[in-house]
Amino acid sequence: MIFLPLPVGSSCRWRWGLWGIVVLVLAAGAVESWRRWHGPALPSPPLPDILDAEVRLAVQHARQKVLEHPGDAKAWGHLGMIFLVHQLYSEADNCFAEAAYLDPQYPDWPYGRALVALKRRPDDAPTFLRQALAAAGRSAPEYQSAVRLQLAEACLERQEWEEAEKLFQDERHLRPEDPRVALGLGLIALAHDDRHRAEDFLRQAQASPLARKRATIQLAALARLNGDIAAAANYDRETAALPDDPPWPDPFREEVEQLRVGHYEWLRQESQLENQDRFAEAAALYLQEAQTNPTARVYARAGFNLARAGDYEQAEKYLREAVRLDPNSAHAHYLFTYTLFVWAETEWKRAANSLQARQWFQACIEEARRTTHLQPAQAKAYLFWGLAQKYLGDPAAAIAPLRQGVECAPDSFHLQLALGEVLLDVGKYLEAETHLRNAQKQKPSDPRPAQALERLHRAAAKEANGQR
Amino acid sequence: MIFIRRTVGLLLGLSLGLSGCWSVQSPQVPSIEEAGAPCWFEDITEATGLDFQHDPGPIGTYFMPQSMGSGCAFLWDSDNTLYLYLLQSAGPDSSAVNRLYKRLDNGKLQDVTAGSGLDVAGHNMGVAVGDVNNDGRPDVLLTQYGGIRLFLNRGSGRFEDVTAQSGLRNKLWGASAAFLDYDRDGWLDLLVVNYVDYDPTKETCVAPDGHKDFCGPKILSGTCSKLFHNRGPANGGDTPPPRRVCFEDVSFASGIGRLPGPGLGVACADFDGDGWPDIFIANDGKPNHLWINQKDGTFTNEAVSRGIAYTAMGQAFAGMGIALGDVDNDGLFDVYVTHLTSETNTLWKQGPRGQFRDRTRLLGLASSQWRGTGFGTLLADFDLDGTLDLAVVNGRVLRGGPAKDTDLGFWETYAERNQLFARDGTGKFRDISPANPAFCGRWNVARGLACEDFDDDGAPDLLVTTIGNRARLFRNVAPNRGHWLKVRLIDPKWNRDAYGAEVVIQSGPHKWLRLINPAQSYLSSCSPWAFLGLGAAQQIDGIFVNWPDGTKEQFPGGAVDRSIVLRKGEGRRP
Repeated sequence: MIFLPLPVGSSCRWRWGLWGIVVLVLAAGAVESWRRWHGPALPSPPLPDILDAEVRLAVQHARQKVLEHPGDAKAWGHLGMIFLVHQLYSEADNCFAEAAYLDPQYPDWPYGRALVALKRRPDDAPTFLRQALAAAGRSAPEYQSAVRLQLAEACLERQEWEEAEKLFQDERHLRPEDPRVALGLGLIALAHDDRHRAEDFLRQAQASPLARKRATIQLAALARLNGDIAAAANYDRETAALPDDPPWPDPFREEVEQLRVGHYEWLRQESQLENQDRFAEAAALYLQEAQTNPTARVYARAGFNLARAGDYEQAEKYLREAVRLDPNSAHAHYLFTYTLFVWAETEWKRAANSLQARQWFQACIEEARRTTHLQPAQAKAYLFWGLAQKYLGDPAAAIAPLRQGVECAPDSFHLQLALGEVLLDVGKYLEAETHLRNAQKQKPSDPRPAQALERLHRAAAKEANGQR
Repeated sequence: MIFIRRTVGLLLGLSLGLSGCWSVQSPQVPSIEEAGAPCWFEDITEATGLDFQHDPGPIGTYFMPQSMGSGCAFLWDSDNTLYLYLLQSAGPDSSAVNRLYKRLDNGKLQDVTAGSGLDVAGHNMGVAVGDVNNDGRPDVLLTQYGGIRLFLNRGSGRFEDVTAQSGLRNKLWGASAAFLDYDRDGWLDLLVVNYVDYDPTKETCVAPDGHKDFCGPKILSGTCSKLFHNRGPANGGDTPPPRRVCFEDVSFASGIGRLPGPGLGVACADFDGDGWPDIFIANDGKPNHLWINQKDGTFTNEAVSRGIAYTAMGQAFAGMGIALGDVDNDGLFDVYVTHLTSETNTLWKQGPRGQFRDRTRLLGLASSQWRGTGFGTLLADFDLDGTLDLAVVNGRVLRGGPAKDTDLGFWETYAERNQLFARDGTGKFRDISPANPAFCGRWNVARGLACEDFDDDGAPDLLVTTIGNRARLFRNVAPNRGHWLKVRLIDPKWNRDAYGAEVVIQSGPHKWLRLINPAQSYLSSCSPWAFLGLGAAQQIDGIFVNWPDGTKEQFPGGAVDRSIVLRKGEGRRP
């Protein structure tokens, strides 16, 4: 230790000052030593009350990593991502905050915080996004784009036009064809009432399947603003027919999505397979789920998908199990109704009017009755009920259930068509025509309503001639 | 000693600084008394004897209609008696029935439910009020999960259920409803907004953490709204008023039944300025519908091209309640729709006529002291300064709210606080919720919101319904209120309120627009009166009315601070 000579006259003050510095240095050293020797003074990672066993396990694993490596930003960040994908937002934010503190140079953590903020406190999001963008310099270009454009859109939403435009233009230099950029610049032009420029950008965005609907929405409003009513009406119709645009590419979000487990992951996978018409695989997945979650719903969905895959016998087995587990499940009874109908129809096509087909149609009607007793607004059950009656040669008996179905779902092409056809069969031409025309309006490309209308006109003419 | 204290303090500060911060951002909790903000409401629930306790049915079943709440209505009978009608949703077998209260001369409320005919149980959701048989007495329409019911007003607080013979049928989950005369034949037609195709046995919904929770609309299909045409005297050749009412389901024929929702809120007004009533439906998580009247019994959905289907960023938020009002007194009404806590309620400003733009941020409504899942909402001039203010009632639909240590039990996790926004001198809205503890300070799962001048002082008061808790009545006590005018428009030919009319009051350079239709907000029916705040104006120069049949009339002005009833045909053609 070196003692410096003190100026004469102020020795006391200087001595106190020096002692203060020494105390400070010692204290800092002591705190750091305490930190090193007695573990981190970092907070304990969050442990919310989670009932879903798979989610709880995923959190426990990630949390254990944090406990083992409390100074590891990635461990904290990973835990944050698991919380984020399971919508435990405040826990996610806490973890991302700690990760960002431990590694301020890593962009994922402020980006994670921004994604949480966008859900809870949108005004905070731009700050985190700016931090993420500043740290993203060495990240993959796709990642940088996602962060930059998220920030641009956050600015756009906050009407911070200048910063938004700059960010979109920066991105445009890198990716001139990017539909997200075109859409953003189109929105800015619209906000400034620069309609020509807006239209150019929006048309560019509309050309991409990633932004088609979003751009068409804006073009519709622009057309009406410009007084082009016909174009506006066309865009209105076009928008209604377009599927929603897919989410924007975002490597971080995609990585987070991969971490989903538990109930919602089961649902996602099952609905994905169903939407892709991979019915046998969907049924297998439901049956796998049934091992841990043997509910009426799971068995009913398994049976339903087996039916759609053509395995009616197995389908029936699981649907019977579903209605046994919950006799009051309208959903299970409805899926059984559907299965019996398609089974009967398949058999009918093989051997028209066979006893077996008739029995299945009859069973379908009984199931439809049970379904609609439990759930009076189940429009599709009325449809299969009515169609089964028609197959059984009793169109008059089909009218009542089909009318009820139309009442519940007037937008249903199949119900309108079926009702129109049975009314035609029983000679109620006027009402039949209404429903056939309704069906035609709902699906102009389907030839069946027109064909039925032709039959109707012939029948009506014949009847009129007969009366004469 | 001082040295020791300072050193300890220094050490503590240093150690905290070195060991890092747990940067948890706690929710913003502003002080209740915000400097300079006015207090506008006092809770008069107890004082008036309003003892309505909402019963949503058995707790823990997570039956989705429970989470959507029930509405309320104000109803003026032909003898100028004011009634409050509040709905229960405990199911058809419950002993909890809807309640009817009568306002007495002393300002207290008397429960007159028994024998009223309105004492019905069910999964009751929304209520609409309108005189369907033009007998001068407002009738009541209830929407339910799985049904609708129409009650004809027989006078003296007595109602008769005429659903079976009325032709009204709706097995779907009905939400808000509105009466309008869409074909301008003088008979009020009915629009019932339907929500989702919900089968409680199909879905067991859980929160992402695995706790049971109410289902949201994303996994459910939307259903079509219903339009019922009132056939009036055409049925059986009656002369008005007909002995019985007869409605015809024209949902598909009109176009409205061709496009499913899921709808929750409804407001009817002339959105495109052609003199015919149009229909705006707020859809939950799907683009809104704006059904433009084609004047031939059909409607076309033009919401997208009129800019009101989506937000400025092209998002379809969860639409719940709707408020209509001219927020900047430019002669064109604007549209405010409430959304989820994770979204931002949207204000679409109209201009040019028939075209709407999301101006939420521009009008200062993007940031607020706290956030909420908005349901009932109203634009009204609470301080009577001549500009519209905004009330929003909140309550979550999914678990995870910030409320703690309340007496709400099961519902605590869904509780949020209501909000009030004042239009300030800069033309923007200012959040004055913290200064309004009576209306905004209480944690609640609020749904219905309706307004009426309950104490006849010219200023709009508010009625709020909550799930599983008391309905609350709030008296307007805004200080330094301006002058006012209350206007009611009656069409003597049809012997009822002129739903669909527009009234403009002029005083010097100032003009104020109001729309006549009690159906807005969420599941609720407000006053048939138009409430106008006139600020410092001492005199009215003229009153201009656009009647629902397209005719225009001008009425003389006069003094302020009064209630006036204008009858069609008694003014002069401008």
